[in-house]
Amino acid sequence: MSEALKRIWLCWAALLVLLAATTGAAFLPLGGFNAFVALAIAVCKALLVLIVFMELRRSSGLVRAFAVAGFFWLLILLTLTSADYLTRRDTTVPWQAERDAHPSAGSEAL
Amino acid sequence: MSEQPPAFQFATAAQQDEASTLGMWTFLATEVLFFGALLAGYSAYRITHPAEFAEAARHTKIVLGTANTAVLLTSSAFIATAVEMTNAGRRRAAALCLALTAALGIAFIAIKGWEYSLEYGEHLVPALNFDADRYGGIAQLFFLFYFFATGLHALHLAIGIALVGGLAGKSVSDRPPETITVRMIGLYWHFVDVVWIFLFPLIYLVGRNQ
Repeated sequence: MSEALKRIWLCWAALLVLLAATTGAAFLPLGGFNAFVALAIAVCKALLVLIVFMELRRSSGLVRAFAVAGFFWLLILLTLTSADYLTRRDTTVPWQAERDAHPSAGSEAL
Repeated sequence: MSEQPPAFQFATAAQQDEASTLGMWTFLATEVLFFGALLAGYSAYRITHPAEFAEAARHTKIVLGTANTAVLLTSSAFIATAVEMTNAGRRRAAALCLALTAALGIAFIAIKGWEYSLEYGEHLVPALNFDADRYGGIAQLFFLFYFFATGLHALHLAIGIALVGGLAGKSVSDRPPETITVRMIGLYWHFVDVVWIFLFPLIYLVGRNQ
């Protein structure tokens, strides 16, 4: 098997190991850390695909810059959106009942 | 590299290939943001309703989802192999790898369809038969995202299957495709794979730790 083919199928094996790891880790009681682990493994898998399968490994700097640009703008989109939603607090006025102050807590919001 | 001389506006075949690659990556960058808007909406609702999202996500079929991820990752390895085979001039091997890629893509959509039918049976399809009294309104939002995201992904995959299937046929014809053509369609295929790599944990792995 040539060097290129060996690299492709090694990458495939690594991807399947990461898939098993992420599925297994999802069942561990890690609390809020579960989401972090799932996302970190997803980023690793995506990087493997981008660098090995999509050949960014041997692409020119210009092609790499184009590839990074899309994800960079995605990062801005997600960061600014989360910065808003992660820091929102409901403010209660004294005459409001506790339940009314958290309409989002009910599952009948729709 | 291209076997044919470059088009008149290019000095070399390498320059022509890089122009094609840049064009494809530009298209893929727009696709990143296309799916990204969907992910941003998902994040906003998940941040606001974490418990309801975890509860809703437990109704997804994790075994089928994991199997489908493995199917898609394998298909990507096959199309990457097909690029190497085309480059080496091994046309029959390239055609076989391309056919396997398309077949795995079809397998993915078949498993997805099976999953959809199970969800229909459990009254989890918004706008068709969603049981909001049983699952709650936020779960309906989650499944709205689920069907939109996986549906758009399946549409992209269907386009990919058509392109790769066409290439497989062309590979054994009198005019086999050039390496750059296989490489560009490969880039698209891998991108659809990357989208799924992120959809998988957001859909199937949420709320499994309870």
